[in-house]
Amino acid sequence: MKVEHLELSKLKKAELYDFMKGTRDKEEYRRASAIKQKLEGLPYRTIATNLDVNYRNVYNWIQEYKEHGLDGIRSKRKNAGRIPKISSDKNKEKVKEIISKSPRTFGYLKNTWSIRLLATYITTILGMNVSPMQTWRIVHDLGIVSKRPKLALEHAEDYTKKKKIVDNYKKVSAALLKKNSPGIRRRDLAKPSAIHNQYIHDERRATEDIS
Amino acid sequence: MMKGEQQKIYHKGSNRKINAFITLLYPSNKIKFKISKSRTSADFINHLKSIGNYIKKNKIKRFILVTDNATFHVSRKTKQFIENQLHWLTVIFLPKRSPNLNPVETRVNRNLKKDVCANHNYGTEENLTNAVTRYLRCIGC
Repeated sequence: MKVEHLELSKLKKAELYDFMKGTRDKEEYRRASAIKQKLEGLPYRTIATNLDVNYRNVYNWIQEYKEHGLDGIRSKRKNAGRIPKISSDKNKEKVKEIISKSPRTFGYLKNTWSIRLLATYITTILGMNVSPMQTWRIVHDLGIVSKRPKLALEHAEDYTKKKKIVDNYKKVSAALLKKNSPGIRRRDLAKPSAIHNQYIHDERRATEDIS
Repeated sequence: MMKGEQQKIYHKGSNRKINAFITLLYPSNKIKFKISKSRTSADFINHLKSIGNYIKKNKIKRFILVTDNATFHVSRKTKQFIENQLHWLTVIFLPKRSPNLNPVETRVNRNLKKDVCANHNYGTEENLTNAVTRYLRCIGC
């Protein structure tokens, strides 16, 4: 009996094995494992007995994989299961709007949102009991993370300018106070880039000498 | 905040503080408090006088005060004041360096710092005092 062989490139094989690792759907996994067994050279009927399905199903899966690739294997089921009431797309947008504002605007005497505070506020809006765990799931789906806010100066630019002047003055005064000191060259204070240019110049000369 | 972002809170360079003297009343769980700019023994005596007025209003016979050993609680001035008020006041001092025994520290102070003071710029001292008084009145008294 003539056995039909399936041959794939290395890239496509790796793609298939990654797909098998990643799927949560058992039917997708079964179809992918059928193709994997076919690659090893098994006939349709033995694959069918291994997977407890009819051999025609195995034939159809492999034909679809040949035509459409991995999209042929993926399950076509949509709109399955109960529609979520609380964590629907409308409510998620509402939560995103609420988090962008501070809790003081809603009358709470707090500076940052916590999950429990958010849960109590959402229950008042929706009129349904929303647990803190449920709110965490909504927030997690939106990609929002809690992070400690950072303090920053209001007029930071003025502060850094003044600090530079003071630091410069400290350097000069320290040099002047020392007796018999060589003193700081003016070049070092005014232009830090001048030292850098000198360094580059020396380095370039060293490389030229070698060549 | 979204992933990778961090909220920034802008503040001025100075950080002036205000002080609040807080006492929890048992068994009503109410709060008596007084806010002042400094925390000297004179400020603490003012706070004790306000408690005395509260006791005269409600006709309470005796008041037992449990305090920690802050410097303005143990100073010479306050001791002289307490000796004159012994007909209605008795003072018990907690052991040294044991804030875990002080319910004001755990029940009131911690939440006040977390909710009101942290991560917010009030700008002026008046706004801060208003926020603190509003918060403490919500809890009790």
